[in-house]
Amino acid sequence: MISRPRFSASSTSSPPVGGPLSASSASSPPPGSSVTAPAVLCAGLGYSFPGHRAIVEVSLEIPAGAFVAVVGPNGAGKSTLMKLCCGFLAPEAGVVEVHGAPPARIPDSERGSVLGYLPQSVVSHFPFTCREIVEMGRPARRAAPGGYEMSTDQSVQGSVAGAAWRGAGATGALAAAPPTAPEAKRLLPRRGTYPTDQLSALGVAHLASRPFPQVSLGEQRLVLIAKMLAQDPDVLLLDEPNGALDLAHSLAVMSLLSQRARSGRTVVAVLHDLNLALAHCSHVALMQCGSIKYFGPPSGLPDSRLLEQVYCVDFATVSHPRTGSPVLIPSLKPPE
Amino acid sequence: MRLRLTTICLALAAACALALLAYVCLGASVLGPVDVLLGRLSREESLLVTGFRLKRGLLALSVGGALALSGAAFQALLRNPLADPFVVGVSGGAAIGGTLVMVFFASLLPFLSPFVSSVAVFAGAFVAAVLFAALLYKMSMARGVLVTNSLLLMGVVFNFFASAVVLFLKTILQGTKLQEILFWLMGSLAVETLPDGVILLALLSLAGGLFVLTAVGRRVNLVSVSEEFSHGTGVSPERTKRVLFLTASALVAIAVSVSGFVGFVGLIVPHAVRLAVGSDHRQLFPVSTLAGGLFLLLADLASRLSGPFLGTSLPVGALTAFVGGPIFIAMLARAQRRGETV
Repeated sequence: MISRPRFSASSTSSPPVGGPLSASSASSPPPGSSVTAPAVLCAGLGYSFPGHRAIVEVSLEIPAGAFVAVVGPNGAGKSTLMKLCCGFLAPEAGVVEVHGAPPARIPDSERGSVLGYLPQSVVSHFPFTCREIVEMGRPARRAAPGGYEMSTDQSVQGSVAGAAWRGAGATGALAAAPPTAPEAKRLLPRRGTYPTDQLSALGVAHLASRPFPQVSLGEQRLVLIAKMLAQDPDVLLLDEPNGALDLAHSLAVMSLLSQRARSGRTVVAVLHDLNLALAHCSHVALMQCGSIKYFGPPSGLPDSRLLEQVYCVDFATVSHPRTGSPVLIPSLKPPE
Repeated sequence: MRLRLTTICLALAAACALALLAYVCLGASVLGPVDVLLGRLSREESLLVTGFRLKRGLLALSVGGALALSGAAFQALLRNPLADPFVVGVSGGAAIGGTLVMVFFASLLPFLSPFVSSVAVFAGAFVAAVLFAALLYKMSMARGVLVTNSLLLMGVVFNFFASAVVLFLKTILQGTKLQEILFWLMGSLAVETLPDGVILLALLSLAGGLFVLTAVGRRVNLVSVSEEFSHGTGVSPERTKRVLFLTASALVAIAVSVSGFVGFVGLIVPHAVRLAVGSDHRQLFPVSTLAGGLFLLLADLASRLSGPFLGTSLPVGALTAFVGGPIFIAMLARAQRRGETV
């Protein structure tokens, strides 16, 4: 449909690769070997604000098709890492590469389809409607006649996707049952479908004509995620996508994001809910004081003492009565 | 949506043409619109039309359009709905430059024709505006990023400094020269000593600026929401910010050097247009330009017609503030009552 000769991502999702902090060379791969190239590569990354080192020697290699949760206490450098990965901030040390190219060097015409970044907060002073916000995610070149599918079965598609998130909310389970491969393909909004589809996929189609600054913070989050889905980049960088979201929407967002990851996109999301990370993500990156303390599959986290050290909180691990997967129950450490 | 934009623009353009015809016909001596259109005028009448009324009407259109357009652009750049064309210090620079040249000519070269001094004031104001805009722009850059908050603050502070300089320069002038500078600072569309080329320049630069800004309208939308948001959507904010600043500053520099500080047009018109057509800058820019031109044309017509009754010619800048202020407050109050974000 849309040829992307320079930054094409592999559409086959690679299996989650474990192992903390796999070291790799920062050299860009030769053309044609994009299957092995990491979607996001950080090597020796450093960044500081005046009087504060925010990111210290971060090295990460995120494979294409991964769904990475970036977790850690407040001020650990999660947001700064996201801004470095999307190229909004320029690293002081080390390199960042997204599909083999430094994000700041990718030309504007291509960056929108290579990577998308959802900031932690977006405050608009101008009363754009929610539909206009979602439409902003659609690069101009895709709006060219013929290059843009105006779906005739909008309502059908919307309702199917809507049912998906309602289902996810209704089960109340932390892990929504993963859809089968053909089902996932059907649920996934087609690349570049009409903005209303993206809004209804998140159950907020009724917001379309309301001014963005007037809807609630959680609804703003959903609209911004809908904009990200409309943009449909290869690498999605989301800073607290489910901040201010209720349970049902939070689960729906997680399941939409894992669908994206299964279809070959790479998702990196800052999360504060460790159980969501355990249930939905293929990798967890645990940050503290600007560096990565753990990077690997979520299964390795609950048993280690790392979480308690990093968060200064006691964790009890129980297994979910229905799925059997580990669930963390945090409690404050008793004062000594 | 596209049809709606075209309809609104055509309607506004037609309104501008009608208002221009009324502007040319009305005044101390009233001319018939048919006679004006067919050119059935006596020599004095046609001199009045081409040498004064048409010239001044076109100037009003271009200045009003430029101020409204640059106001909309600065509001988007600074992400502040209260920004207006005079907020970033370009205008302060123009005031210093224009006043300096005026003082220089009045005290050292009083024998020169008013025509020459008028062009010199225009040129001085324009050059100073561009210089100070470049200086403030340079000073607001940090790590290759234009920090819009410091641009706004520096602009406001610089304007205070500029008005102090102008106040001092005014003490040097006396009599008619002092009144001339007062009128210029208040905003006036006096064209008697202005060559046609300047008006043509104002019109052409407005057309160019409108083309450039509307062409980057989609990018401006993103930047007006937030720079991070824009970057995350694949649009580097810096280039768009530079285009916004340069284009809007050039438009303001020309408008201010020609007609001084015509207040409120650049603040109110984008607001009113935003209430009517929404925030999409691809629509906001062209509609604001036309609406701003129409607004200033009508305001100047009112100021010209009220002259004989008041016994003095009311500067159009005072009139726009006088009329625009209450209208704006009423509009805000109405939007607030209906729970709209302005």
